[in-house]
Amino acid sequence: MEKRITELIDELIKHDSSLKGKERELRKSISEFAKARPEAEPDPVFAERLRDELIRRFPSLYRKKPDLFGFLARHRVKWAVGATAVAALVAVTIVLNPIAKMQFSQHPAPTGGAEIPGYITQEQGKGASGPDQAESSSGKPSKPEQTAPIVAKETMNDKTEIQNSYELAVMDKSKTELQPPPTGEDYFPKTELSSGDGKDMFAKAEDKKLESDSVKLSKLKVAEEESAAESKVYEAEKNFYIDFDAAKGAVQKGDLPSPAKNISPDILLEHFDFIVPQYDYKNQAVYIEMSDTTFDGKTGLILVAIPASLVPYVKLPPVLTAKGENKEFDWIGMNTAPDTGKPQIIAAFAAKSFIQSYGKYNVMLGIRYIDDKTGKLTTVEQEIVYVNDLSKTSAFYRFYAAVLEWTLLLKYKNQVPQGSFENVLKLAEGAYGAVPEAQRKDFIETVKQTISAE
Amino acid sequence: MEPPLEQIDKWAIDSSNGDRNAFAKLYDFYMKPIYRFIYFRTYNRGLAEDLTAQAFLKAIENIASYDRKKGKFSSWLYRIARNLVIDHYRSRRKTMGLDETWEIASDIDLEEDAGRKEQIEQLKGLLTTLSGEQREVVMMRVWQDLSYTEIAEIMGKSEAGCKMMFSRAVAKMREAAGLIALFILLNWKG
Repeated sequence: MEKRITELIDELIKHDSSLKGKERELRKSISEFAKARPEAEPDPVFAERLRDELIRRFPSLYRKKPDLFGFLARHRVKWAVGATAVAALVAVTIVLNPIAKMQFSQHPAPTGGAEIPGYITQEQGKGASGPDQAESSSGKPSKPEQTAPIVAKETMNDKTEIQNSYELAVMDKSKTELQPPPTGEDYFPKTELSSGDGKDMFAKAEDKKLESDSVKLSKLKVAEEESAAESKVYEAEKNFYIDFDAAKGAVQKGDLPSPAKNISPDILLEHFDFIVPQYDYKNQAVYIEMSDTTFDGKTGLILVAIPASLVPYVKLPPVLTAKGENKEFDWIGMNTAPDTGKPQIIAAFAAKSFIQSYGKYNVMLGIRYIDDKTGKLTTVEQEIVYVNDLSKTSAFYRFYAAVLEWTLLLKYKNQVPQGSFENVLKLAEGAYGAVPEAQRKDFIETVKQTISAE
Repeated sequence: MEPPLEQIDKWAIDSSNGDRNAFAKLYDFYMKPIYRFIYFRTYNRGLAEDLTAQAFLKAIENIASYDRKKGKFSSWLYRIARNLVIDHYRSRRKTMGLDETWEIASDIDLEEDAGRKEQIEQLKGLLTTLSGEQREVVMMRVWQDLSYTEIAEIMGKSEAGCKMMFSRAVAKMREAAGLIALFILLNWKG
């Protein structure tokens, strides 16, 4: 400390020579200030949780280096660029406007730099051009009606090369086109289409129509098949899930809900409080935790969260013990919206005796998936650690244990005799996590409403 | 032990390319300093934790745009934290200068540190004689041991200007120290 203060004093004197000789006073002031530094050590639990949270959220929060377009978009230059582009387009359109050029060409200004009024009439703007429209019935050049300035008045000499060349081209074209046809010459082609040509034409059109119909039909068939497959999955799974929104709606009406279809993902899968970084698939961790349930002294709970992208490749079970045994579990799924990329929760209940006995060893969960790159079946093995004390599990675990208990109470109340909504509430309220989230709060509110409805 | 600057630069570059493990290393190294940096300005543990979390979340969001040529990573990170603190106080009051942040902070929970209450009262006495920027410079230089280069980058000032500010702040504290000692003595006698 003394050394540091001496350094600071030296610095001060070096910077301000008038302080020389006042070292003692300076030392006193600085050392008093240094000693008064408050203790400011962050809570290690907070630091660790924040670290886990940041690592977990890194892929979703990280924004790649902005490219030129991104840079422009971010700095709102896009408006300026857009406005300039539109202005340039309008300018180019006006400069190359053939209607305006027709006007110019039909009323050539005398040489010597006479002024050309750069106007376009509304009629011309609608596409009417040519001698009939350009001149009034009296044969005189038509006066500009409601006009919009194209460019400021300019002289012939001031025109660009493009304008002049374009004008010449228009003039030449008008000359050839406006020449009266030679007498006796027929405008219609002398050769007629044979009947065979027409047949071919119709046959081709018919073939094309049939072809497009068959494509449409095949697409429709594929869509129907996909839809049927989805329905099949839905039918198979509908008894497996509970619809949170439906349950919540019924609770809010004062009715306890009847068994429903899906657990909605939105309240379920926002935050991890714990992360297992070893097995990283597509930058998302596989999360597994195993402990006791609150509602049944005989049952333990294994909670698995896997990236949604991994879900199609996962086959459950197997659960392999260290001894190589396969154990069957009743897996309960809390599904998520696959498109959002949020993790999917899969929970398994097992006899507590099994979990406790195997918790002493390494219980491994095997997740097999098809590797996108190699196309081969790959297995990820994740060790499951048994946490003896429920209060020492992560907030993530406790929260989902609460959701599961709530689900089971709604759907299979007779199977969870020790469970209660009060217990669910207590568990959920104690599991906000490092960063409290609105969706967890929403769940807690719903549980409260469930209690009052009950 | 402090890792070499090259190592920090490498972690920063890796993080800016999307390597979250590199960011985790940066977090491990800078979490405590950033927390302290915020705590010294807020004197509220909960608020300091909240703003620290926000600072690192913001750092992840913007890490890709971090440019070593524009300054050290630490300065960049401290600047994020400083802006968050300023924004926090701005949100509490519609118009408030940095000078006022100490007064507000002192209302929060200085009393929590009861064992050091007297010392903190003295400190408050010393610091209230300084302007907001002077306080910041002194805190960063003496409490956080930041270099003038870093302080200048964080505050957006010149290095010479920061040195001058520090020198003036110490001179003011030296003058104030005598008055405070006299005040304490009179109170004790009374």
